[in-house]
Amino acid sequence: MTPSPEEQRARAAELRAALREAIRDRDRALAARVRRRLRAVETAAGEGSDRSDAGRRPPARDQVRRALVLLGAPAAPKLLSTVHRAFFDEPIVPSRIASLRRDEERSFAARGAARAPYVCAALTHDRFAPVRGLLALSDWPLERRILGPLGPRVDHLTHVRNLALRVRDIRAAGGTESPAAADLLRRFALTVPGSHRTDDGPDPAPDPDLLARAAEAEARLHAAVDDRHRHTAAARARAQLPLDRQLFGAAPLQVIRPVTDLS
Amino acid sequence: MSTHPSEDRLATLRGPLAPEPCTARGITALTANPGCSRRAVLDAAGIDKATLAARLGRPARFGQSPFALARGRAFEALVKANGYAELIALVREKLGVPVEEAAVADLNEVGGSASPALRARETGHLLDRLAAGAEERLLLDHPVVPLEVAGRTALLEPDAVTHRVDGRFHVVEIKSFAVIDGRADPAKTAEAAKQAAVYVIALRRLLESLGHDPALVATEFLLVCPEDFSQRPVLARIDVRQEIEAIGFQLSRLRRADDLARALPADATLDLSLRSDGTPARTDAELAAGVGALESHYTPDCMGYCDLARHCRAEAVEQARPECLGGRVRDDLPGIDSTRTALRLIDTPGDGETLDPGHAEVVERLRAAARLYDSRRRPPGPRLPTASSETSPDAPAGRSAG
Repeated sequence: MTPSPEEQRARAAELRAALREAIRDRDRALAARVRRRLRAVETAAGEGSDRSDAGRRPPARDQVRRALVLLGAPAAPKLLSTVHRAFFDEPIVPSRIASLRRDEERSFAARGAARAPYVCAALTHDRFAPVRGLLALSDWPLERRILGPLGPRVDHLTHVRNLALRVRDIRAAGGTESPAAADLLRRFALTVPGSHRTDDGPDPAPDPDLLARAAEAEARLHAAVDDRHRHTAAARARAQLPLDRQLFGAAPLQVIRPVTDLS
Repeated sequence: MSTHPSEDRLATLRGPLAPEPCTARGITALTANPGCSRRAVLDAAGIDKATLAARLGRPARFGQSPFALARGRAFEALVKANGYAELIALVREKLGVPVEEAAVADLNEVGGSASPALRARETGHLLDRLAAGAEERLLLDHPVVPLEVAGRTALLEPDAVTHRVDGRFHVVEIKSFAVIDGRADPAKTAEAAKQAAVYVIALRRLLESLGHDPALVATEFLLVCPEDFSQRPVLARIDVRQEIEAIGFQLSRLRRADDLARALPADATLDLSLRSDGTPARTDAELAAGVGALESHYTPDCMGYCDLARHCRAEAVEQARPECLGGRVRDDLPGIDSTRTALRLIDTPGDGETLDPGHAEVVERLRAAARLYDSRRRPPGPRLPTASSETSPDAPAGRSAG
């Protein structure tokens, strides 16, 4: 009989832990074996829910989507790759991410919303241009994908909070987070005020619960102004832009003639 | 858009190639040697000096190392990653910026376009609103600020500018040289300070042109470097009042490059373009003539920052100009325009019936130096001007020139 989804998930978690151990011990042969089994389990688990076009999509798309869902706000390829490695065991190949947004735009143009959610762009609040290097998900509301002046900071705080909560949940379930995840949390804790229990220097092992609360506290400070930016800009974008531009951003400003001198 | 009408002469010199952008690094080099008409014209015309040096047969031995450039870019990306998290944490910790302030403006692109002119216009608008207090931004990422240099508008790009420190704009320079035990390489820090001073001057002039108080730009800049052997950034506030004074003065002294270029013969060219078949449009001899028509002012220091320095040095050595041995030698030989003259004066026997009375003191010093040199019992070297770029402290200036 086929194992239940819960059993499959438990099995996958076991395999991931084994994979981490193998990587830590630099046992490449074992790591490769475990990775193959893990993939088989994951594919089997995926078939039930997502049979439609598994295998046809580039895996980078799914990886990016998975990392974005965890982060909860638009993110840069480097962070997506780091997060995927820290929480889902393998990094995303950067060259794959580079071409992803364009591929998605083409796919959307050809097939409409059939393959939603798409990996799409975050937009600037003033001109609705795609924000340099950020990826987002098309099923997020525009408010979540538009970045005003406070946007980069608020999104960073969202990332920190969500990653900290995930680590807390992993620990609550009796597991341990990967060394890469612990490292990420340590680095992020240095950038959020109030995330350390002590005043005498940074905490080598920050408490994820405290970190999440510190990130939420700072986000609350920015919320009023930031939400106003996002809502007004989103309303304007809905009024002005067709759906595909709302997802992938307005066309760039054109320079009519090359300019070498301002005067 | 209209080009500066007097840029026409420079554009003709350059030929069909696009001009090289003018950088703060280039401006500090220019102000380090304000007497050099050659560099002034080449920079103003936007000529690629490295290529020109190669065409003249003396390629620059080094540029900026690609590894250093890559490391610099990587460190800057790290400091600015995740919504400028590290940079914001630094200004909060070290400069007491309140937590409420986290608004940023990314000026690397305007509406998806990276055109420097568009970015400069956007920077101008934003600075206008910030200076008027209509908006608040903690950080501006890569603003583009215009600065008139030698009659040409250069578009400069500081790594970042922060507005909310003591109510003033502060230039932020992100450099990848390490601060070890609280000390950084003094030469590199000085170079960064000079660049920052150029940005401060440009920002002040921009604010002034927008009708705001130029004193809104602080005379300190914020230097961000990796700490010790880690990638953790640290921040230092460095006063650049002296550099601002010095560079401001040198900038005002720079002659307008188009005035300098106007003196060139009508057929002079610095055109480095290639024809469609890959052959150069102008011969190397034509280029050499064009460069030769521009007066150079070679000093040994040029070797440190100018791609064309080896060509100028060869030229100075060929003409036996004392300055090719450094400022000290030149100052020790007032009124003597060639090392050959200096050597002849040493070797002229008798007490100087042919001597210009004004040279008597110099000749006396030269001969004393020659006696000292001979007494060291070194085998006498060939009495030709050498390319040695520095006089060693124990070799008297006169003889080491020979």
